Amino acid sequence: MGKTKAFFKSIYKNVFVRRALRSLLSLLGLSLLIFILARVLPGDPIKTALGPDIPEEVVERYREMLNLNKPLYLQYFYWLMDVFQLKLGRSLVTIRDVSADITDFFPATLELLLASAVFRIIVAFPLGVLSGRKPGATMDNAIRVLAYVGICIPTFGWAIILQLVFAYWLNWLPAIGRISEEFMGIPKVTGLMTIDSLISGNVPAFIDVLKHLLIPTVALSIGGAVQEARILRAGMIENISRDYVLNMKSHGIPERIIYFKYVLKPSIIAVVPTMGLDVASTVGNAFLVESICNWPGMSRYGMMAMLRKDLNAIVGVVLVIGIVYIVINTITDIILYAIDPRIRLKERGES
Amino acid sequence: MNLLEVRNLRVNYRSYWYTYHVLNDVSLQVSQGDKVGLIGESGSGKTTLLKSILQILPPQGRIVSGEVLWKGTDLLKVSKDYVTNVRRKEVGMIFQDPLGALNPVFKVKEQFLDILRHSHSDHDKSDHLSLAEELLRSVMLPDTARVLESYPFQLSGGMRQRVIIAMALASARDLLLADEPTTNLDVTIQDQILRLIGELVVKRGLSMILVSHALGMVAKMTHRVYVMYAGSIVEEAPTLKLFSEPLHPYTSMLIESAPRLASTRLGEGIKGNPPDYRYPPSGCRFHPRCPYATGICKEVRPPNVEVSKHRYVACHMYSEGAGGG
Amino acid sequence: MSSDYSAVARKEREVRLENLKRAWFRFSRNKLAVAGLVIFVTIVTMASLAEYITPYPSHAGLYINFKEKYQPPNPNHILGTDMYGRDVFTRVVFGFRYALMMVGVVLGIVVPVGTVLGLLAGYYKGTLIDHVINGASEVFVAVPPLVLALAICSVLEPNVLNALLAITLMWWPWYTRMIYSVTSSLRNEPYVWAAKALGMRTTTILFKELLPNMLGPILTKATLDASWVIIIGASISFVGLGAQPPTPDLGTMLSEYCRYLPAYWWMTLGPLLGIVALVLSFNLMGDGFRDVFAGE
Ligand SMILES: Nc1ncnc2c1ncn2[C@@H]1O[C@H](COP(=O)(O)OP(=O)(O)OP(=O)(O)O)[C@@H](O)[C@H]1O
Ligand SMILES: [Mg+2]
Repeated sequence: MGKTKAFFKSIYKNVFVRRALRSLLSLLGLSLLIFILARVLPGDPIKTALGPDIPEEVVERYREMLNLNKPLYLQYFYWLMDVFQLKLGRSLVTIRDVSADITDFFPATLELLLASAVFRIIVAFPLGVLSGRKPGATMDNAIRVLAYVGICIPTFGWAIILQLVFAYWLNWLPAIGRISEEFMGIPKVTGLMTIDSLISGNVPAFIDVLKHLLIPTVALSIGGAVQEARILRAGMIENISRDYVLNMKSHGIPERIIYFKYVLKPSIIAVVPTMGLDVASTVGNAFLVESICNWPGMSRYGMMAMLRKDLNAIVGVVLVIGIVYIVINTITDIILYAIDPRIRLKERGES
Repeated sequence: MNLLEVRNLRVNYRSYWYTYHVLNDVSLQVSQGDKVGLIGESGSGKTTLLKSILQILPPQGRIVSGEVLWKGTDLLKVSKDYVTNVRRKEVGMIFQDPLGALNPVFKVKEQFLDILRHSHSDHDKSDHLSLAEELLRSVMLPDTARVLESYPFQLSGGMRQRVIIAMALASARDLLLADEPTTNLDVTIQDQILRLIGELVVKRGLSMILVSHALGMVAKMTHRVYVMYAGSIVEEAPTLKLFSEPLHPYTSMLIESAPRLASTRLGEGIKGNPPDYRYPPSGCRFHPRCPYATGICKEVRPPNVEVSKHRYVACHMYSEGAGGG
Repeated sequence: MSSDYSAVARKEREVRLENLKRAWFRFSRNKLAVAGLVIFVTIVTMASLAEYITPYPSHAGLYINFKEKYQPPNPNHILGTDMYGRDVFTRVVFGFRYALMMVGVVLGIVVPVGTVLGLLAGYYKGTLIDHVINGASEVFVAVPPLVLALAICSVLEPNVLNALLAITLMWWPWYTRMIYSVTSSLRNEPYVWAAKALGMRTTTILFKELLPNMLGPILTKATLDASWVIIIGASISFVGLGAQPPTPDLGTMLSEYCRYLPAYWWMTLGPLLGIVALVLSFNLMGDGFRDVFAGE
């Protein structure tokens, strides 16, 4: 007994767990807020979802099924009970449990998220390092302009532009979808098609999947990636004039080592939190990009639920996105913990 | 021949909006075995001078003109490799702020070994670790293993400063530039560290430029002192002479306010504020604060006058024809 | 004693005016920031005079002339015409109105409310007030901002007013947190201690001592975030949860027009350029403000 208590205590003392629990609590608060907003405000959600011409007894049946004729606090209570059993209630549109729907659609969104995180890293780091090396040089100025372009065109703008140019005009990439029809048959293992196609050893399918991934990935992450490059650059430039770098210089250490080791590491540490937050926010922007690119993911599902006012599906998707958000933030914390000794050693000292 | 001779050095810092004209025709000499003091209130440009010698100014800093003669060669004109070699093997610098001079995200060992790899490139790789330990012991850090395995923030201020001194020793075979090696340290440790530096310099036969606010220590440890005000050297004198009989009005004020220097912020004892380097005063940069200022001080830069042997002062009171006083 | 104090206050005011002048001088020396200001002023002027300067003001709303539909850009219609034969340029200029109104309303609500909340939470750091305000803000940042805004819009009726409500609810915690962090770093400054020691009222300390010292960050943040408001607002109407057709809202227009994408791609160009111009102007100005207030 005492042992299990100590175990839970030690888990709770873990910073990541503590922070994640706190976020989870906020998430519950948010679900309550949306729940109330959806039910308190005028308008009949069932009629909105199913259309105005539905016969009254059908509406009544749905009401019964969704507990809509119970008092609000009971409704929330029932919903919460369901959530603890990993059920999210029934969708008005698909008539299935929302959690089942989300399970089907989630891998596609996850794949997009992972791809865009990778894209950010391979774009932001080299660009930031390059432009910080020679501030004011052509490369630096080009990246500065790119950063402005990146920030001014919203993700859905990027999606439209990329589709137009690379799919419709140049015909290099498919505009919509996740995989071409002829490769639909690859066996589903992880749900991530890049990996599934590799598992089945089908290289053409893999290339096809990559091609489909490209436009939504770039649309989702190009703006953020260039911004992060600028942040990294600013960090590099700031660190260059720090005494700890000048000290290394005073010992005649080659500029290359100074820049790529002693300047780069603290600068990367400084950009990681922003990057984590940005990657987490891509779950939000995925709503638009998935819809535009007809990407069969959870966000597009959520989008459709929103347009049809499918309450359980909306709250369910928001909840899952909140959890994804928490997971990504926790991963960011763990990465920081791993690479920044100041955080790591301080927190070990505490517990 | 002088080991180091700085001639008419001018250094600016540039920011987005302004240019700061900091060093203003600074000249200074250090010969073999010399121990030279450099004093002046906060912001007078002492650190800037030391960094300029090694050309390690931050990117905003520019050496506008002047010469830095090292063993007769002008470091501002020779190849980068030559300068790098001087940095690696001949001159070492102790940075002012022990908190800021060590990279917070690398272990002491990592940083130290990188330094030794270049300052002692003739040694075997395996020797570098024992060399680092030896240097740490020489600065009275006996627990070398723990220090090397630590990150800077895990060490106390005094320990960090000792690490920096050990690093500087690795590169300093001729000259040690010690930039206020005791600021930000406990008063009790200040004395220890300064004494340690004094001993090490003697033991290793180094020359030294010592920047310090602890005037008592400067008096003990140096032969000659330069007094700096607002980016100009205003007086140069053998140490004892300077303290017993200061010539420049600024020097007198600096020495008079000395007892307060140890505890409170520097410059408090002297009336007025240090000048704005964006628009430095015309003529003598000290004239707005000088009780003896006359018309000429506003207009003409005072020449460096040799008053007696080894005594120079840049003040119109002592220049011929100007009279003043 | 009191005249002493008023003299100090007058001096302070003079210094502030002086700072303001210098800030303007610096801003005016920053070419990009000035460019942003010029774009912004142009857009505001165009939007407020839309009826008089657009070639076909009647095209803003419901108007059908199939004879002129799908025209590519030409001298009569510099951004072409849409599927109902409406002049896209005219509609974009009217679209600026909605975008600017959105920015105005959201900033008009969040800046005062968020400033007060942030000041209170920061000044009473560690107390119940702090915990309540920050706890509430945490609820609103539990999911990405866009998701929150879309979710709120979707459970309400899709219209402009609810979109405004959603953006306001989404943005306030981010803004409040900024004020909070500035306040909690300023509250230990000597002048705050002095004011407390002199027995000044808390409201005086908050609004007369602290607030004037954070006008720079407030202006910068509000300007940079205005572009965020535009983008989120456009996203909401793009997916159909905000302004409904035939409202000439930039996001709504974009979503209507991009259905005709490969063939009549120029239709999307107008609203897209409109959004980009607005966002760019706010970003340029915001960066300018930041440089001005960043110190030397
Ligand atoms: N990177 C920089 N950009 C602009 N100005 C700078 C920079 N570094 C130093 N300065 C300015 O140059 C002047 C001289 O600075 P320096 O550090 O050389 O003084 P110091 O004599 O070492 O002072 P202290 O006793 O405080 O160390 C100061 O006014 C300082 O503000
Ligand atoms: Mg200094």
